[in-house]
Amino acid sequence: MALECIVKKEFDVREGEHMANELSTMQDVVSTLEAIVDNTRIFTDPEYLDRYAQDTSLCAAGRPDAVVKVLSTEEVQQIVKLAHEHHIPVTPRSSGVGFYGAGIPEQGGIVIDMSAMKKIRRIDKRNRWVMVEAGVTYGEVQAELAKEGMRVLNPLLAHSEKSVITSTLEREPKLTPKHHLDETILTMEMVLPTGNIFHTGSMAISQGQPEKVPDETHSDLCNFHGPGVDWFRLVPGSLGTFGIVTVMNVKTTLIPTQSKMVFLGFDKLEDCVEPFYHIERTLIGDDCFLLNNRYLASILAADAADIERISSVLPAYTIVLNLTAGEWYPEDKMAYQEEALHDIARTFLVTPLETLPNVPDVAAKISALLYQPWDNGTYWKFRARGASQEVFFLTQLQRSPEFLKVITEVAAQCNYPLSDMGLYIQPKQHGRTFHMEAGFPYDPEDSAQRQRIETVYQKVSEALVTQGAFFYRIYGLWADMVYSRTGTYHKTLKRIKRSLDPHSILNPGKLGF
Amino acid sequence: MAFTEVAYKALQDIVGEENVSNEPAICQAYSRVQWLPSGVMQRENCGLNMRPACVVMPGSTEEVQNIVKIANRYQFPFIPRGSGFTFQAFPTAAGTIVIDPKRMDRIIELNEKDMYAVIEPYVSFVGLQSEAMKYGLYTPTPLAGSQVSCLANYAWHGAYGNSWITGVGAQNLLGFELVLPDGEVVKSGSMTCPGAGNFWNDGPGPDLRGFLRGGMFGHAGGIGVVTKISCKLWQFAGPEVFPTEGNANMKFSSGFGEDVWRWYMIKFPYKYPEEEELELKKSAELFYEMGKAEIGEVATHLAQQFLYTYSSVTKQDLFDNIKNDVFPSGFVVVALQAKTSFKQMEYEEKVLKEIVKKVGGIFVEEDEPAYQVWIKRAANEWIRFGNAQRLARPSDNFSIGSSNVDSIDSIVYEIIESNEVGRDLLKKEGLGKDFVQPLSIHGGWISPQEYGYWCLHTTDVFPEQEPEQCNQAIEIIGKVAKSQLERKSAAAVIHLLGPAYDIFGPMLGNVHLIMKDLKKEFDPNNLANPGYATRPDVLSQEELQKMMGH
Amino acid sequence: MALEKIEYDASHCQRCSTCKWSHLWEVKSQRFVRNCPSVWYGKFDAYAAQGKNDIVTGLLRGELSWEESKDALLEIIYRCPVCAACDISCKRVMDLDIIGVLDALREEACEKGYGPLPAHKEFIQSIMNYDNVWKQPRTRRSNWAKKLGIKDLSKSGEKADVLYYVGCTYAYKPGMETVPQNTTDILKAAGVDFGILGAKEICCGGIADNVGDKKSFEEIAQKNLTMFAETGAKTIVTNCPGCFMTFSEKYACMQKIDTKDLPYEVKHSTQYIDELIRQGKITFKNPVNMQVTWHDPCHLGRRGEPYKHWEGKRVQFGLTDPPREMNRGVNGIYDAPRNVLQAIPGLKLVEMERIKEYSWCCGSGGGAKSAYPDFAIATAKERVEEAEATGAGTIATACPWCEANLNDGIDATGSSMQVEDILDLVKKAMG
Repeated sequence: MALECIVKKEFDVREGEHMANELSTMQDVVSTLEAIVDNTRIFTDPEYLDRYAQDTSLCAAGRPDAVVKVLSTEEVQQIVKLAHEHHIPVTPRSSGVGFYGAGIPEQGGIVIDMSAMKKIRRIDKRNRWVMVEAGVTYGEVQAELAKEGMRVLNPLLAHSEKSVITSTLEREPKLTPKHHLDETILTMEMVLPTGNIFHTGSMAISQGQPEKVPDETHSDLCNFHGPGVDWFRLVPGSLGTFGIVTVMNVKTTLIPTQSKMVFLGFDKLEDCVEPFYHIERTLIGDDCFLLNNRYLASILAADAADIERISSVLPAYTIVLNLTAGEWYPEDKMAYQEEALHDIARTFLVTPLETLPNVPDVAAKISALLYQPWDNGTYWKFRARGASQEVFFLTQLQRSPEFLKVITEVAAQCNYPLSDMGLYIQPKQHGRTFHMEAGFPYDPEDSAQRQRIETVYQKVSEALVTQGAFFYRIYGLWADMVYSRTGTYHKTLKRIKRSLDPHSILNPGKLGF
Repeated sequence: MAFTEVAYKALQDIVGEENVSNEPAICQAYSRVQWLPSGVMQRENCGLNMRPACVVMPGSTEEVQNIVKIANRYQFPFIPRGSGFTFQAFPTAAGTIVIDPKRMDRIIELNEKDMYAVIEPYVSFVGLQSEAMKYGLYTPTPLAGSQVSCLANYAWHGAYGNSWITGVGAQNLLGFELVLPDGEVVKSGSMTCPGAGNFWNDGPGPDLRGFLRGGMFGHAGGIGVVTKISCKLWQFAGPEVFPTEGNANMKFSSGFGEDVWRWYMIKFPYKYPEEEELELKKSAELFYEMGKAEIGEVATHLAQQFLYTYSSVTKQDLFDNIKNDVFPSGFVVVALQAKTSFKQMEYEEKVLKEIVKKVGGIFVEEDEPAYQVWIKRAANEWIRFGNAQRLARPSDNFSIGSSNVDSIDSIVYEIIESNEVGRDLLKKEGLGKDFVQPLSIHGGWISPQEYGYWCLHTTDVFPEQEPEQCNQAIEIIGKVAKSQLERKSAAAVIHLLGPAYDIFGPMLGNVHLIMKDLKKEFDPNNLANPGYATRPDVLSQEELQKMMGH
Repeated sequence: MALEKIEYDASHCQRCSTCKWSHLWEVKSQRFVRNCPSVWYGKFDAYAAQGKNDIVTGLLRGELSWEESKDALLEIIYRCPVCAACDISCKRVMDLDIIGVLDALREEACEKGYGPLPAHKEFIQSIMNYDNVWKQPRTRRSNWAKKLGIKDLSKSGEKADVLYYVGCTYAYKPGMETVPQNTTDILKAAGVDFGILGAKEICCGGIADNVGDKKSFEEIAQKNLTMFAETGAKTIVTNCPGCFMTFSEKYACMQKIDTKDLPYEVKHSTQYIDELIRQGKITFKNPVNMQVTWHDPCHLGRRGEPYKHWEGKRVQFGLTDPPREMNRGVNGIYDAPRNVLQAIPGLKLVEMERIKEYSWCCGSGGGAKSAYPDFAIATAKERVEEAEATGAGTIATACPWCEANLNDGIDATGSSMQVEDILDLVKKAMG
């Protein structure tokens, strides 16, 4: 939709309301933007804009009218102010890649691209946090933190262009399911839909530069609560509709001094349930997750052609557990963890393996991959067929076989080849809940496959929602599917949205807003 | 409009005549906050206005919803409450009603595998903990005491003895069901999705817990009435029934078994109170090291006021212990729990000993009075009981003198500074000269949270329940808070309630305007606990001055 | 006037609500987490100790008046068995005289002329007219003892080591006469030199004090004290915990002395029999193959603690001058009945969740049964359900009031539970 139309439409809707009328053309908008940022960072060329119109998801494309590559919070602020005044849609982007359609400007307008905001503003080793700008990726932050013996928790093999802030705000599950590391956001600098800069948590004590707050005040930016509402909870999952986060400090952990990968293989998902619960209940290990043979093979294969072979020699389901120890008596810590694991293994008649049959060096390979983004060419989930559509949700582990049955039955009904399907189960908070994700690789160039995957995506999602799967992150068609069933939840969100963003300028159309 | 007979009749129709009362004698029991100096003064100032126009006891969410709708129809304010211990659950204006949740006292679900419970507002910590222990689980141990409403504590301002692992109320709340101020019911987390169960908190989409709570405080019922929550339970290796021996009040002792749970007390070789700063800083070092090593179930620095009050059997015993200098300073208290195995606890003990050595700490020996009184008598009780209002035992009244949340280092700094300001006021202006000493304006509770990623503290003052002393306490608290703002501590961020939004909001990115917009959206008529929640309108300077004057 | 004595205690309540829950230390389940029958049944805070503290404070400060809420006040004050569970829970955290507050409210009601309630007045009038609470002729008081050949210490010249005081209910209530009869058999078998007051025995007067009628109580108490002095008995044994507590605590309180300074020692029959068993004077022949749970009568347990007189004032920080030793549920009679039960061959004692100083009341005390029978029965039902949860088939107790009310509770629930007096069990075992 062209910007002119939006401006006009908004104006019509709000007849009588005062609005500056000098921005009635695209050129007016660009001219105004030029007063904010250097015009080399403003893009209106249709071909360039197309790059922002789509991501790897099945979501419908939406081309922005302008893309602005910002370098500072102040630039974001001024653009949002402008947009707020003139009711122009604004879609924030901080990653160079999108899997879920969250950054597609459905209603056009301005895309604020923060991927060039690359500064790691501050590292506080004592209080175990790192402060990053919106465009900093996992690869960049891990490299810097490693110098201090630290790292941030990351999702399973993040895309190299995925920013830490995007991933955190999207609540991508992390590999280490510890209670105290489930919510990693400490404080945030954000630009509200009105264009005001707002600091959350103890950063609110100062309106200055976030990284200088610890020097200028007596706060180490460790209080994430408030002020007012708990922004560290309200903003994540809002897909940029409540505010644009420009800077954030997040919890880090120390890099272990010792670690050991252990694998537990299973033929049936049902058999994983009890041992998996027990591993989590006894709090052993750092990173822990389950992959089916297809997903694991997608990671391990040297090239795409090898995925099928490797998949065929792997157990159907593998729990990957990384036992680690830190500074103090690491051997003792490893020993008690191994002993506890072997107790569990004995109870449930499984054998913890240090490697997997027929796959050389699997422990070393996975170990090397866990805290780096995927850097082996095509993203691992896409390697098999060129693209992949994910369906994910949260569940209690005991219900995972039930949901797997739903997924496979529906996918089979849609004639999807089940041997292609990936499965990933990630415990959170030591097993209070589990992120369950089915991946459906497909060839995006094959229109029949694409069409089939759209059906699979829709029908599997629908069946899962009906069965009681909890879709905690809401993208694309899930908004209608989920919110139509959740009573007043969505209405309440809309009321909050209306209060924060009365002109609905931030990422309109997302979350059913 | 105000609360009328017509409104009263409507409430009777909703809950049944026996569950609503406007009898003065019944309502009188909901009209008093006496344990905080501010409560004492509020009572002095508001007098009869603190008595609600009626008390209503709903038995279900639907009844709460209907009560709230009636409040909107007839435009009278309502105050939701839990067990009624907090200071913000009392009317400040005539015509206000109180919603007492005593009929909603069910543990709806207790899920062993996924470690959560679903409860109604009148389930106490003690009830929930006793059930959880049957399944090898337990609850945080609330400093307010395990007699309080678990739901209210999580939605409001819970702080716990085992926060080292559990964090505060915010970290323990999973999903909730909330009756908004206009009577709409909203659920959050997985409980909002049919068939999904009650196990999880965030989503679908944005996490509405962020809306329900704010800062360390919630909104004091200002965004409605929470009617149900699901909440976390935590691993507990101890026995299925809380073990006790002897008379419940006098000769109590308890052991979870040395094979599953061990307590330690750690001190530092400094003269107290002269070298309090060094003691606190060393305690901080200890916590940072323990946090990095990720060991321990409990790790906290208990100031003298906590040690003396919490371990006291009687008031006389408390003063005798002070006289005998049983706790010559604050102490670090640590517990280890065998959650993985006995070997894991032994490992942690080995590491703890190394860390204590590294930071120059000394383990208190079993024959020392402090060990005998705290570890032998009070420590396990602390897990069950939280010790509640024993904190008021010294003077039958007490107040938090200062409270902050930030890093462990910032917290130590704040304790030192706050105490300094307090002692200065005592020296120069005689403020607090009649308070119980050395418990007032000395020491501080350092409560590191979640392996020390963040931390909170309180210092306390112990005035008597006399208006003059209470006024002094309020003055001290105000001046300490002012000094915190002047030196840019993080204090102001956490404690926002009522007019505090108008006072501090401009310094905090105009958060008050955001909150007032939200209040306007959800409670335009300002009926949900108007005395404590922020008002929809911005207060004028004149109004603020007037309120401050009170 | 009555309220002023406890102004400090009432007005320094912290409103923490510990008084509303079973002793937190001892809670074993959500099902039995409550301790206070009054607020459990009445629900509004006013029925709890916390609410009563507020009411006292309100009355003293003129925020609340009797005139505006008399009926509600009377119900709040009297729909309570004064079981002291609240007092014991509160003592865990504070040092406030909560029982003093409950008593003072009743005294105040009577001073104002609003109390006691008509049902209570009937009892008191009956005592005044007949020396017993059941409106029975004095002459029938010793009918239970006919042909038993027990010494009558009211007759001049008769002396005995022990005065066995029977009490109105055991003496008159049809079906309960087995208890004094069995007591007689047990004492005789043990070779105890004891006597009774025969038809001259008069009510202990405890009920008058319980409902706040101090004047009537003192009148009755004086008569008893005189009679006790005349008998010269140094030891008084009672079956009824109400009488036990009245003689040991209330008479001491009235005379402003400690229990230990009374001219006599009062023992509950379970204490006395426990001693006899330990001395080898009682032996058991017959196994009693029953699973039994023990219900602690409040007046024997936490309210049965010796009285420690204190006159003084609250000084700085609420400390007391002179120091006051408050009852905290420590010295009630908890072990003696358990020892007796455990000595019976074949009998298996299983405990309920709420016992001893944190026991759940049967609901009968404090005049609650006569004035608010529905409340009393509901409270008893709760106790019966708790007893059932132990798996026992029998509730043993040693109080006629508890026994009667628990039986009403059983009738109301349709439970198959039996209530047995402990002395009947002892007798069965002795053969």
